[in-house]
Amino acid sequence: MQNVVNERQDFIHSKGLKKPESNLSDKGAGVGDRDIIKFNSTSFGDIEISKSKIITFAGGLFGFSHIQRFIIMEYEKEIPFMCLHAVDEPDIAFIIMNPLLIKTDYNIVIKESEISDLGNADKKDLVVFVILTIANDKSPQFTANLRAPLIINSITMKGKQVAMEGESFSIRHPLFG
Amino acid sequence: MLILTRKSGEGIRIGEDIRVMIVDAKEGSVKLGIAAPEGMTIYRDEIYERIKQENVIAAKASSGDFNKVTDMWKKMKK
Repeated sequence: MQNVVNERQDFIHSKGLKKPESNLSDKGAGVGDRDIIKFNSTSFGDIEISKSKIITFAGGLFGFSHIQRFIIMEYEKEIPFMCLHAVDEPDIAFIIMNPLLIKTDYNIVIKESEISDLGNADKKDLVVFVILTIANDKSPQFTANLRAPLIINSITMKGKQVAMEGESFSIRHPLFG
Repeated sequence: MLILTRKSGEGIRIGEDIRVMIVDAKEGSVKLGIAAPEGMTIYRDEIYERIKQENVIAAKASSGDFNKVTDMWKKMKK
């Protein structure tokens, strides 16, 4: 049994998506051209990123089993929301965040067998995110899917979306009270 | 869809590795026992569908959505 503490951040692309002058390039950081992957994003334009930042979801996400390669990018400094973007599908992008920031007692227990395909992991190497959903009724309402978090092994760069048992994990947990 | 009739205590095999047993069946509900290889995920159908639908709604986050949630976060933190 494992629970997750979310200590590691260094596998996240930290240039920030929002800075308009940013070219989102990892060049100049001692990374050769061969290690760079370029792809297009419908919302964010051309993105260049080090291949080492690619996270493989071998089973995809629920409903998206065909999409396996993703990256995680910061959106803006000091803001907890990040972008989980498909590398091979320009219009598939999720807003994700650390669930502990919205629910400090968020505690998931994952069976070792359930994440054995992520590779051997120390607890400190596992990172958990939840996906946000926006509903535009009268005003925008953001909710977090606490029921089906993303678990990422930051060493092997493999990820998986898992479903928690029990109704205490809301699929639509309100983000702003 | 293949439809089979089974009684309590009977079961089916799906391939070599998956065995589904009817543990009990009464009053309109069926209790299933499932033996499958470790690491294989098994979900209640409606849970799977709800999570899938939620992912589909969430999957096309735009820069406008990021701006909205960022603004709301900043307001809340003030």
